[in-house]
Amino acid sequence: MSVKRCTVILYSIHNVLKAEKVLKKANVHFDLIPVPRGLSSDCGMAVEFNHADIKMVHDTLVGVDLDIAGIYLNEDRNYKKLI
Amino acid sequence: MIYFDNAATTFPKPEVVYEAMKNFMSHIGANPGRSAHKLSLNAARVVFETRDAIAEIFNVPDSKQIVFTSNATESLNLGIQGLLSEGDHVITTSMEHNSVMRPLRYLEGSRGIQITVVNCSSEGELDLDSLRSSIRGDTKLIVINHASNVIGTILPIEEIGNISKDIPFMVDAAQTAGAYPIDVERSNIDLLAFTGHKGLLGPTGSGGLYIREGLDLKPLKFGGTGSNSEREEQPDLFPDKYESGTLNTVGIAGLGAAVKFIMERGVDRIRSHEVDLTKRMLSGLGDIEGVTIYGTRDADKQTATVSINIDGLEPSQVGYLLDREFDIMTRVGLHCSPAAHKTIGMLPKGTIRLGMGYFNTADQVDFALNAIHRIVRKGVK
Repeated sequence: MSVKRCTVILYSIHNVLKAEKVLKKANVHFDLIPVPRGLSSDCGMAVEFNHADIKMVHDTLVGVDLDIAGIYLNEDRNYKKLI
Repeated sequence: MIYFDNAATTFPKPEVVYEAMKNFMSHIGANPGRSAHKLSLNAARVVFETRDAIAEIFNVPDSKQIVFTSNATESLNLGIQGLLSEGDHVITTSMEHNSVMRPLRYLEGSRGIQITVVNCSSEGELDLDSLRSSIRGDTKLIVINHASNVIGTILPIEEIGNISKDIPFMVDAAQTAGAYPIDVERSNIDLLAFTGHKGLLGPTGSGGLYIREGLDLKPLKFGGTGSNSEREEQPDLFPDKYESGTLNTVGIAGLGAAVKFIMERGVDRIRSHEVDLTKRMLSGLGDIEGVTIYGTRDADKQTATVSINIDGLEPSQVGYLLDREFDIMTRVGLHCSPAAHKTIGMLPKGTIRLGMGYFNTADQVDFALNAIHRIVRKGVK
């Protein structure tokens, strides 16, 4: 079974890069990806990570006051909003 | 060659600035925040890291509140024109550069704003009681320069920030950013306008404005930001709201390297070196009969900019001799600040401005003092 992936949507490229900085520091494995079609996008990039890390990702981003537009579960390219 | 025109723009820049700009142009080059490919992301990272470094040097709590502009003039225009509405009252000083005076005078004509210019002493010092008594119920902004570009006198921004807690306080740090410690929290600064190419040791065409969170400014320009692209309205996000159009990425790359260079050495150490040069210059000039020095004559109360005149000679003649005979580059004349020249009593003649910087040395000061001494003795040829 493949690993479940999540996507977090942020409001600006500045916030995506701030997320990159703090998630690296928190040793979370993630990718920066173009915002998937169908997800409302405020900037062109999003952060993708393993579903198992969702609490860590959420808490890390909220911990530095980053506004999250949404965190979505990728179910075979259907995106279900979790947060 | 001795470059004493650092108040206009610092030169040379640290080697790391040239390297960062070359690296950006050769290996990154792409448009930040517009695409998801590697180079666009790398360009966006350069911009992000520079923003973070600037936030650190000014103790800005959140780097998204730093907006990039092309210079301090654009930053001042964004703050002044973005904040002031019809009939608002604004307080400034008689030591301001035209980058503050001209937008204010423009709005006086176009939006009917009312301007109180608090007079400074002929040494450029501000009486805080006069400032306090100028505040009215409808005062919407206090805008002052941190240091005079003409005579270097530093104004007490921390004290002014404490006076104006309820009124937005804007500081023009064109002459101090990078060369003098600035803490936006400690000094209660709401808007900090800075240029990248002077004390911050970066390239021309780079600069920025710190905007305190919660302060709403109208943008100066509208357009593409790479965010909210499906909408035709300007996004309401920092910093995108104020950064329409492609940024000066190569300049920002150079500025980022420059700010890191400064932080590695420490602003305090840079300031200390410049105070030493200024003390040496002021002391030497004081020993030359026929030289008038403007300002406080106290290195601790000014930047490394020293303005003088020589009896019987026009500033332009002195500047010409220093350049042609001694290979010393200075700035002469009015320095874009008629109000300041009027305050020190040197309108319309102007002054000879010796703008020292971090890369100048005590030997260069001594050489310049000797040159000025010889010009005084010989007069004009």
